[in-house]
Amino acid sequence: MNSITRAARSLRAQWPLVLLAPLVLVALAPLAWMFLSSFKTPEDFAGSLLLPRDESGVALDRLTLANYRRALQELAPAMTNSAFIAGATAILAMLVCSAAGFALAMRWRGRSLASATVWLALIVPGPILVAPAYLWLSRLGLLNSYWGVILPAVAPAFGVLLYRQAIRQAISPETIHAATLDGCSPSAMLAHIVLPAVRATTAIFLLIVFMTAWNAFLWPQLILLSPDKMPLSVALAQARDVHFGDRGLLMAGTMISILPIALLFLLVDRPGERRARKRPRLESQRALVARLDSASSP
Amino acid sequence: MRARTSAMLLLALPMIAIVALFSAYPLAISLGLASQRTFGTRIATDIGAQNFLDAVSDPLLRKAAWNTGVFTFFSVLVQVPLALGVALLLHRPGVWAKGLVRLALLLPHMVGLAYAGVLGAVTFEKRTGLVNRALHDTIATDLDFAWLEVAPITTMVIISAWLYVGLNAMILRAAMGDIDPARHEAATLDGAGPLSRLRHVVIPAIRPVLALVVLLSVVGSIQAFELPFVLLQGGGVENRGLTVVTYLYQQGFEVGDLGYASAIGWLLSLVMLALIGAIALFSRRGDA
Repeated sequence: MNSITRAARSLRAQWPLVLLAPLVLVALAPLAWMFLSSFKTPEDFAGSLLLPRDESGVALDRLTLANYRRALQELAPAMTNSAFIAGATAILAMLVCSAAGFALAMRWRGRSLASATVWLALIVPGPILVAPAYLWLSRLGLLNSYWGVILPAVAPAFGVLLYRQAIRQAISPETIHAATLDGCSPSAMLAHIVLPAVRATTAIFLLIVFMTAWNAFLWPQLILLSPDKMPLSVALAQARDVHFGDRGLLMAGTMISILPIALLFLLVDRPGERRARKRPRLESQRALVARLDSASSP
Repeated sequence: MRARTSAMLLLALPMIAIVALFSAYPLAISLGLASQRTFGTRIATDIGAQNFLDAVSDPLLRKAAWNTGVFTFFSVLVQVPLALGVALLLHRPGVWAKGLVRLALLLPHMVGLAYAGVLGAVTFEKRTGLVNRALHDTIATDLDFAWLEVAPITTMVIISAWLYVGLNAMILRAAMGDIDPARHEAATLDGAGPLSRLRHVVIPAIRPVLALVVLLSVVGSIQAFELPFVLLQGGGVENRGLTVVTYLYQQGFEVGDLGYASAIGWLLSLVMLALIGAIALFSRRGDA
């Protein structure tokens, strides 16, 4: 087979891209439109679909940060609330789930009871709990408290099972046994043996829990009654009611709400990328060092 | 090699406490609550099973149930084949820019449901929204078509598909990648073309994961609240977009009858468990 046939065959193999292209367009179009709209004045929003235009063509100087200024003014406290709630939930959930997952990965006398608790949490449907949990939380005095939102979310069943699986694969019972013989306390074992061994799992777990807490709406809206405690999801939804004509503001607000999650995704996904492209990276590093060497020694 | 019970119990205790406090106890009082009529959290009267009787004959709940059923049905009908198709397309060898396509298709699911509600409200707005303007500019449709007023369920199906097809496709593609290549080879040696291999090798092999994707879609759609509530600001015009959980929310926290809300929660959960059981049974019957 000569190189022309090979090239033709390789080109023919790209037919899936023809079918995937419209899907990619549909996936990206609303996000791109939202991105551009967040920088446009109301006249430009109604005037052009993508970039603002004037008589001479594309008018990039008409792009503005005013929407973001207004959005931050309105939503900054809510952003801080969301960051606090999501961050606290993620960290506490990591501690609770890794500890419980560790316990479930070992064999001990009460394990089946602890396991049953996790399955209960997994199976009970959400709608059944909304009304009674609200009543119960009001009796506990947790209404209008951040802890009323954080605490119910720090023991997600999927997290316990995720850690149990990861710990089973990463750590041998012999290591634990040796540590116990050395007089290691359970919390020390968790901190020094278990958690370092499941870093990748922890990264994914933190991302998922943070994202879930950041996006949560029903429960925070019920529990956090006062405007100063409101998270971003509730505040943005309310902004939609109050500022329904101010689309620039809403688009800027939505952009702000997506940004932290997007950043976290990029941070977490890098280990995966590095594994897939290890060799070229090493070579580029070597090339860089070589160039620096030659630059420093004239 | 057994571990020390006291040490393990200490580790498992926080999880057990949280589940007991925020799942088990509310579940335990939920039926009792459902047998009451409450006015907020302080006043309650016992009414036995009246809530359940009222629920069954409640026309608004029926409408919500119908809307939720339609939304769930079409959501799954649209999302699963699309996700399967995308997975198959990405599974083809030698395709360029697979990473970029993956990234683009996964981007939407990062948008939380409440934020997707706000984005959807602006995107599907008549006259100024992206959808109407793009459709008007390309195939000259009605610029004034009020998606949110006239076709809220359709809008929600579209937004849901936008959010989750990419994610589901990646899950299915991972399952496809795990198929033993020897099975593909054996089928090819037996003279099977790509379509036949799809039917006889790929689909049976990923059946459990496919069932899981369907299950997650059903469970997610049936409990829809954030998207319709934010998108339509409640139930929408003539409650065309009212879902069961939205109705539960309205009854429990706008009207204030937590007992009725609890009863609705019970009924919805029973339906959900029945559906989960049916899907699980159906997926298991396929095992040889």
